[in-house]
Amino acid sequence: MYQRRRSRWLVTVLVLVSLTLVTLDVRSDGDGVLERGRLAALAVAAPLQSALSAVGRVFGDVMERLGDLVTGGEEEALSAEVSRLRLERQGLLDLERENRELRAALGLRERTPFDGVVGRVTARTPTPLQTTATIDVGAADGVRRDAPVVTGDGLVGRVLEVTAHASVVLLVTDPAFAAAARVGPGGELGTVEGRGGVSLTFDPLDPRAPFAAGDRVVTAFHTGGVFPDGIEVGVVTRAGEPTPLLERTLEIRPAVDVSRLDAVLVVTTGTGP
Amino acid sequence: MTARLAALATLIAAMAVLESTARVVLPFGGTAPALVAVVVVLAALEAGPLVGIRVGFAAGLVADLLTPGAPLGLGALVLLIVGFGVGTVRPFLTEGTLAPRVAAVLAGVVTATAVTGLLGAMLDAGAPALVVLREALVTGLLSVAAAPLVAPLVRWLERRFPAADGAMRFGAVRSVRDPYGVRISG
Repeated sequence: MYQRRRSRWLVTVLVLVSLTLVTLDVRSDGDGVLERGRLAALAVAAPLQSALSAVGRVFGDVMERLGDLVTGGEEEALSAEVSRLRLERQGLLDLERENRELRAALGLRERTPFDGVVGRVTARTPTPLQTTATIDVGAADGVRRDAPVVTGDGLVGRVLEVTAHASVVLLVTDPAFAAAARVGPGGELGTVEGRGGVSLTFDPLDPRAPFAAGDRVVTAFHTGGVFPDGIEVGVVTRAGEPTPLLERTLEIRPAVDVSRLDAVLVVTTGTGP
Repeated sequence: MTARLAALATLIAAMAVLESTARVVLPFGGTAPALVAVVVVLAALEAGPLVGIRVGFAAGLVADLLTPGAPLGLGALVLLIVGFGVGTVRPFLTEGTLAPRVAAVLAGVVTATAVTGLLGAMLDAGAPALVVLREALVTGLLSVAAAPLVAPLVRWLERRFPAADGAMRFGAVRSVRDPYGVRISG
């Protein structure tokens, strides 16, 4: 009885405290003491996440190799030798893959007209509501807030928070993400937005313009915007029809699969057209 | 008390960092076991509602701090209620059997993930409810799979550094002088 009364009391008090915190945080709008606390926590956690993800990747590779060995089904006498050789071969294949990836990252830097720093994703945030990724480059590497983040395939998102050696990227699929974009051969302007799922939406300025599935979507520069012209965003998968109230929403498949991110490029040059 | 706080803080922080990294490393497209929520559910199962509430609040705050962009306090709110809920139904679960504990972890994590997602959607632009619910269910199943790895840590912590006012362990005696678990002093 005593326990139950105390827990009800404690729940009430802590619920009120939480609600106060939520209210303060939502109203403070991105600065203030709560935000500084969050940045500090991020700065502490980032190196750990970076180290852990590196270990995790190695572990994942090893598990993959072990999986290959198990399904190999070799004779006992030969299995040890085969294992050794396979591990060796897998190691070489892995080096080859790594080589390819690094080349791709470098090539990306040459192909895109932007200058930038290459970072690796070290952590992801939990909820479908907030889709962000932490990367292992920060202010010390030239990353600044709102910088566009891309891969060879296209747009990944923009930088949301920066600490000295790590930053947080708001991914294109996040419901809070929005960017000016152009669609199709006519270059119709509009806004591309994330919606928490795998696809994005595009709201055209002119809903009666001709759109078709398969049209390419690229970012559009505008004064005060953060993205330069011409970064690939995705492809129209459903063009829809304008409603009688002239509202129209197109469905876009993102060019980059953000659930499988590894190396990304943070654009550090100015975002002029 | 200080030792308990330090141990608890370390466990929660470690789980929060592990969880965020698991989303990158595990091949589930950004979904991973909700280790922080699992700690809360297991602590409530181990030591009752008072401990569940406090661990839930603390764990939620740490998770919020490590979630850029999410409203600070939202995770704390949700997890403290999950801790309270699980702690409250604890006397009705049979000690030593697995099914009720699995159900508690699944229910706790699915509730926490879904409610955080849906509440967040109300505060800000949010994901569609269906996406949130599917994500919550997958997270719950992954968490059930990961719970046996977290359980020994939580059990060790609750036994090595028990809370002064935690619920008595099933079949355990708090001390020789105090065989019924009634607190004599303080």
